[in-house]
Amino acid sequence: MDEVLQDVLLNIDHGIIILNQNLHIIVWNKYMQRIMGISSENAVNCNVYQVLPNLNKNYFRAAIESAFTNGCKMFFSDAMHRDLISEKEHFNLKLSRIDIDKSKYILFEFISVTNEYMRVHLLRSNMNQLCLLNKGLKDKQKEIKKIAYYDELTGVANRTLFYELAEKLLFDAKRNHYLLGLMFIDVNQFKNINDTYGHEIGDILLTKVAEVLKNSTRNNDVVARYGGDEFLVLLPHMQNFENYKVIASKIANAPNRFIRFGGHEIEISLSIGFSFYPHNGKMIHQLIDAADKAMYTAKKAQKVCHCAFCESVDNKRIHQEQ
Amino acid sequence: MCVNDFKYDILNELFNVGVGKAASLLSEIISKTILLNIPQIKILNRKDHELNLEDYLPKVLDGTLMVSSISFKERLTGKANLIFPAKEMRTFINLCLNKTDDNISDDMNFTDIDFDVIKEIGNIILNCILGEIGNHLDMKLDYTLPEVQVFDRIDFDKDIKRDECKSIIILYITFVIDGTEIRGAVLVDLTLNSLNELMKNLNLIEDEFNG
Amino acid sequence: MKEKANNMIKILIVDDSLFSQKTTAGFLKKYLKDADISFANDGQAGFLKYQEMKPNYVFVDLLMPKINGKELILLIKEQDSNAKIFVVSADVQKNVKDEIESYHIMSFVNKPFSDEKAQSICQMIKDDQNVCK
Repeated sequence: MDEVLQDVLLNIDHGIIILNQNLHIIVWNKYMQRIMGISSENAVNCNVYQVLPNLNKNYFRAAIESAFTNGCKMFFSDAMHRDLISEKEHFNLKLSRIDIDKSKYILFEFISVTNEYMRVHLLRSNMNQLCLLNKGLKDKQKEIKKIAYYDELTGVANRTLFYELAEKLLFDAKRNHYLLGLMFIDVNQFKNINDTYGHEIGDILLTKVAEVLKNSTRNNDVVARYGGDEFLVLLPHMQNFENYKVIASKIANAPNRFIRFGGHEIEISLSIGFSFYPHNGKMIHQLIDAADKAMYTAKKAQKVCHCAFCESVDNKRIHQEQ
Repeated sequence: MCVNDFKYDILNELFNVGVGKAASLLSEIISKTILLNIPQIKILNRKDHELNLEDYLPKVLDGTLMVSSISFKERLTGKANLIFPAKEMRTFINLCLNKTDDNISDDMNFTDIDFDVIKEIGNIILNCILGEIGNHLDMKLDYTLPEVQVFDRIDFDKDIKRDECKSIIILYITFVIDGTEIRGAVLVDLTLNSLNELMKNLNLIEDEFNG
Repeated sequence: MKEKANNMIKILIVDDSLFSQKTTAGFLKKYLKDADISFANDGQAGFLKYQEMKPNYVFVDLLMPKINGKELILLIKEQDSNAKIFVVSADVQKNVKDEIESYHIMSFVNKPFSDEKAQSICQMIKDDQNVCK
């Protein structure tokens, strides 16, 4: 081989091995010496599989044979052949056939990709961190939403969320011509209970009321805490306003309406007022007003509930009769 | 060349054997069994009218495509392309490298390492196919290692049309690794002269059998 | 007439590629001058042909439409556990090879068929024939 060529191969910054047809190493350059820790003297004239036993695999032997016979170039990526020559450093391997003086030889080029590997590793770990941060941010977002829209004590919607949802449901009801019901619920004797048994019991009572309301209504109904001891419930898509009696009955007979503690037992007692869109008002504050008044009527009459709509129907009849 | 031609059958068999060999080689490297479908090649001639690639590349080859290409000038002139949609390629790479990294396994950002893997897979599959054709048809093809590029489906079409190559052989391949299906295609585009050369050699074989 | 038929070795080649059929047949005829070779284009036709002609040896390709090579081998072995089958296939993965060989086939041949492989296969057949006599 040309001296210049040989010099170049020996000093080039890639790992270079040249095999003859007997699979003996005839060139082993300085780079190979460095990465394998095997000197040229100990590598040259030896069988390649002796010096690099990790290469002794079926597919690799077949590849070398193919390269000799067909002259096709082979490529072995570090990622798919991790244990090819070094555990610490990363190399891609290229095989090609070279013809010198009518003899065939195989050229091995080991190209370092350790830097790429480290960069990718760094990028990956950065991405992982970003993903975690992102997840953390999303979780925080959820928390904030909860605080902004939900009542801390009972977990039901708060006023803010109630008004937002009410707007939507009213719009829907208007567009699709359906009945939208509103319940105004007041806890009877709340102040008394608070004063007699303490605020802790008062809190438990409110939480229980929210539970009862949730259990007695449908999935799409909106239960909200309006303030203090007042709750509102939106009832979209009501088939028939008469159904209000069913809901009221469910609430009145809820199995978990008792609170027992330290020898005492309190039964939840509620006053409920019903109003309906469109009959009792077209805007939310009108509906709330009507339901509030109906609730008060019920409270005074010591009844569980009263319906504002029925009132207007009754009033209509009275007017007609008159 | 129509499907009933014996020449078509020969070419089809050569592609099949090539893919089969490639699958065994790959299977040995990644230590996993690879199930193959039974592909049928399609041969398209552009002739005078414009080839509408959209008609021949199935829906599955949409969006971003990872393409490994090998160009050859001796004895045939043309290009062999291994095409996989980015998503399928990502799955392929993960299976080959046994990667189950949760966040990154769906990452469509291909790194240098990914490109190396694609290069190797491309080399294995295209090498086996071209090697089979070269050996049987006694046409030693001279080519280098593949170039890997990311194409948008539309740009890829333009790229093919820009070539002077008038004939395209398409082979749809499906690998099933660990129960996951990976679908792609091999596209070999040849100049008209090269296709004729190919036909001539196929004729020789046909004659051998009939003579 | 009957004696002549007995001397002929009946071989069935099942492969969906005409090229592959002809290649295999060509090689076999080179080393087994007395072979009577029949063909089938897929597993289903192959099984029917098998039942019809009861060949001495069957050459089966693995990748075929309708009934594939593996299924065909199982069908044949069900009928005759001593059936002599050669598998010719491009798909030579270790797991596949091991599984097929567990069905007690005569040998596995990697496509493409070569002169060398043909010689070795035909020698196996000749030896087998001598044992039978």
